[in-house]
Amino acid sequence: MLLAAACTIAAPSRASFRPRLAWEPCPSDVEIQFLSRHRCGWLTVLQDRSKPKGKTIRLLVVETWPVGVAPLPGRGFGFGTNLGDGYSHGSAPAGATRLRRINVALQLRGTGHSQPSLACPEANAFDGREAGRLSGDASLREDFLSAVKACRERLVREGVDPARYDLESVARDTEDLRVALEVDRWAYLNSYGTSSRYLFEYLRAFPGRAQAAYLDSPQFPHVDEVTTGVKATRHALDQLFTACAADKDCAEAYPDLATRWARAIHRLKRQPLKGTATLDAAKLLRASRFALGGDGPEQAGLDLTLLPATIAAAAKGRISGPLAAALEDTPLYCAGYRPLCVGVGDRGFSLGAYLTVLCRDQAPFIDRAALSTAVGNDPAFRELVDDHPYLAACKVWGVAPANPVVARPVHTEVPLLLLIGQFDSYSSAREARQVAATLPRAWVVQVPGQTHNALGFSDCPIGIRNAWFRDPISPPQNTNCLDKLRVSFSTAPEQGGKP
Amino acid sequence: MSLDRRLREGLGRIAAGIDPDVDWHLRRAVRGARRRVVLRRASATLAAAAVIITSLVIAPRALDALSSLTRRPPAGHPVPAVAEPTTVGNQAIAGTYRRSVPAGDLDVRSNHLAGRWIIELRPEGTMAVTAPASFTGVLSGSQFQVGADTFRTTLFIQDVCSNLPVPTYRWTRVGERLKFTPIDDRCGARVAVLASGPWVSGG
Repeated sequence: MLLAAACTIAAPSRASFRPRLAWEPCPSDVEIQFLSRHRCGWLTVLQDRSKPKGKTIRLLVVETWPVGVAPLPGRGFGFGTNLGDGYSHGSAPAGATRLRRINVALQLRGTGHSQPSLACPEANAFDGREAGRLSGDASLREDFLSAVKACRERLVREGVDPARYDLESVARDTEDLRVALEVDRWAYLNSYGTSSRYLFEYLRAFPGRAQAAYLDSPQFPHVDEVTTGVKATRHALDQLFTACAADKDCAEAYPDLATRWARAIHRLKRQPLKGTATLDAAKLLRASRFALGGDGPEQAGLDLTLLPATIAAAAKGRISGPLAAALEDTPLYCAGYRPLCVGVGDRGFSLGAYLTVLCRDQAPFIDRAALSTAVGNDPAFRELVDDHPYLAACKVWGVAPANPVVARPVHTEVPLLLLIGQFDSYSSAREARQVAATLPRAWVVQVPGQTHNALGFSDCPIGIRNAWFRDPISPPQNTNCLDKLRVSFSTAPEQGGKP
Repeated sequence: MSLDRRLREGLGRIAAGIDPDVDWHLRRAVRGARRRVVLRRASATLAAAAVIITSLVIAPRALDALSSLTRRPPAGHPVPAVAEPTTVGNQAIAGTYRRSVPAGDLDVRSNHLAGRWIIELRPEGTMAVTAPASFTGVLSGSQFQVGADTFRTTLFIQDVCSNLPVPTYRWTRVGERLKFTPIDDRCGARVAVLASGPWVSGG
């Protein structure tokens, strides 16, 4: 039987390239994040697997051991954070300890320390120039697109083929790493945010290579991030208005927040506000999406708790302090388009890696009718989509569309746990439930009071995940702790001004 | 057991010890088979030889196709280095401590940190933390590491102080009192909890 199976497998030529994994000391900025056992290595793979003698690339691998307990057999693998974002390994030991497995992280091709980087310092040079301008400012847009073009040209001169940094290539890197580590099946896979697109592609391309997977704040391959973003943001705003109305202090300070929102959008559409930053309707929407997608209070000072006050102030023609700070401090075209706006710099965000997945694996497959329906007649959402700087950048990034299979739903027998925050403006609980309904072993946990990081702010969903992982073919049990989670809105005058 | 693993292990055993010069083996086996063709049990021998030939030819290639990788480092490759920071120093302050964090500071108010905190510093470097009921953030999985007079910790690294470097404090202990002084911590909330007053030994 073994021989029969072997005969069906295409045999590579003797000249075929063999990926290599070599262990080396960690880069210093990675090393300093650890207080416990870990090791780093470099996986060398082909940039383009169809060219066995072509350019090779090096990807940083970081293994982390559980602390205070012996690891159980098997390794877990994480696809990292949102598309293009850099890496923080500081919480990896905690994750390894909770699941009692050695955790493996791969700094995906084009990102972080992996070589080459597809970061675009050419575009970073324009950070901070958006604050005083209106949405869709043509001059700034031209500067950005020129920077993207210059970035691409530089990378191509250096031998980089931007198209080879796509979902398919990352899935194959992951499989090469699995074999290099002599792992039979991953004990678990995980992803955070939009990196779920890598995870799903891996499940599609390499079925049966994982025992279970949990996805924090996922997006799904068959819906592009623009369409999901519109739907998720609209849903998150509705959740915000409802939650404020249900909160005694918030309802008292900002009654009928939905009406205030509509008033603010209408007012800003007619007459933008100008202070240290300029605020128009699309920028208020982007800033609100930023707060709803917030990954922690360190995000330029504007978070979910401050949003009612911020909206109320805008409806009255004022720009709140936290909103002004968010408009001034976040990188160019980050707030409202990308979930996380910290960690700027070459290793903080890889614009090229992000653009390749957007432009090659998503944009060509956007269902324009579905997107138009999602936008509706809302002028702020229309502007958000029509002025999308990254979709515009696809024209200069110049990567051909991927095989359409990457944009189809993935069917998998692997047990999945999908965790989504109530206010997440980047991940849709409705889409998650629709996906789960088509799979034999997939469950959705919606986490009250949370944004785009369902596992990030409470031990409650972490505990639910840990317990599920012990028996992943069954639904998550004992989710009662979720009932206690709620958001406390700030009504302090200094946070936006009481009405 | 998965097909992948069965193939890798089963074919690996079959292929073990063979000379990688497959062509030489092939010619040798074919010649041997021809010489024995006149023997009485020629047909059985030929069948066996065919199995061997097939194994010799297919097994390495099948493994290649399955893995496309060098799974073991070549001879002379350096032994993988595993960084395992020492935990010897942790014993110096291992134990349980408590303190009350006063309200007032903006970081304390916005993160609901005011109230009674208990930390259990375990010798292996894990840190059990009990917070006031008002704090709903992540406490599990915290670590620490003690140097001669330094203390580093991952407390709050997942939420309140996420995306910031692991901080360093100086520690001093006088009798029952343990005090942390920040050397390098950009997270005001953590400074407020750890260093705005002394910790007292005992649960």
